[in-house]
Amino acid sequence: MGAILNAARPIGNPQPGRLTILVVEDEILLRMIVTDELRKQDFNVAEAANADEALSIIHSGIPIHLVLTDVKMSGTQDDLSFAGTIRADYPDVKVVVASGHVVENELVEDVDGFFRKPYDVSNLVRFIKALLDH
Amino acid sequence: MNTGAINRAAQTVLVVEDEVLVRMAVSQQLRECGYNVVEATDADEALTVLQKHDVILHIVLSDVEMPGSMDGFALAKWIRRNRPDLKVILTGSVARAVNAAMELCTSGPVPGQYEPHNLLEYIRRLKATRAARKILGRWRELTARMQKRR
Repeated sequence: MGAILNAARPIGNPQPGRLTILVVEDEILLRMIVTDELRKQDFNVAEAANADEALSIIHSGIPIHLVLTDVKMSGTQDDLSFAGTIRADYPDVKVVVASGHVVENELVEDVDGFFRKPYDVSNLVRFIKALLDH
Repeated sequence: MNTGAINRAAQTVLVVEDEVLVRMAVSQQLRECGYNVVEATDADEALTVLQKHDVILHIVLSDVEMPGSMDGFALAKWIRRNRPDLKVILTGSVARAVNAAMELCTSGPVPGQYEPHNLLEYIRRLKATRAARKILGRWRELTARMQKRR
């Protein structure tokens, strides 16, 4: 059997001790770049194209340590209310918002970080590493 | 936009699947087998990647029924016409997606014997947990509403 299925660890969290980041971004090319950079830094990364997908992942029981989310996405759930849902239901999960549509002082939710698009991916990854003490 | 970073792996699979838990689990499995994976939620996202020529792809693993402007058959047709260099695998069900991923794993960069049953079971567990939490969430909402009325 392959390593992942041989080990007594769940498939969705393949590396024990690795922190898991959920990236919620509806621009696929940007999502691809950000998730790739985070995986290079040894994070376990789950990706969602909108808030509905993100909630599906969160509700599936996968341990998430940080959510990086855009605030202007398609889907049925409003993006700021998505950040609010995470804050209310999962207070231990860090929330970093990246947006080209709102400015930081327009955010109604208390978040752990804000990046205005277009942002420097290296800076974002550095910030996330520091925030998670990684 | 520089998308070159993703190209470092020898074999890259584009996984096109609108059920996020299936996409996540299958993609994770393929990464564990040594593949580089790009995840797309529908054919429109897949086309965005397929038309970006600096993203090197080798295999497209796509669901058949998907929301968006085209389904898996139409996507496969587009690929045959515009990207004939790519291998296309169409999957009409979760079990077929899992089997296809396991076949790729068996012949992939980290060859071995992979058990489709374990991945299928894992996806079932993820979906069951999601369903349970959804019910719990609705129950909480209902309770909160009733308390407001009192």
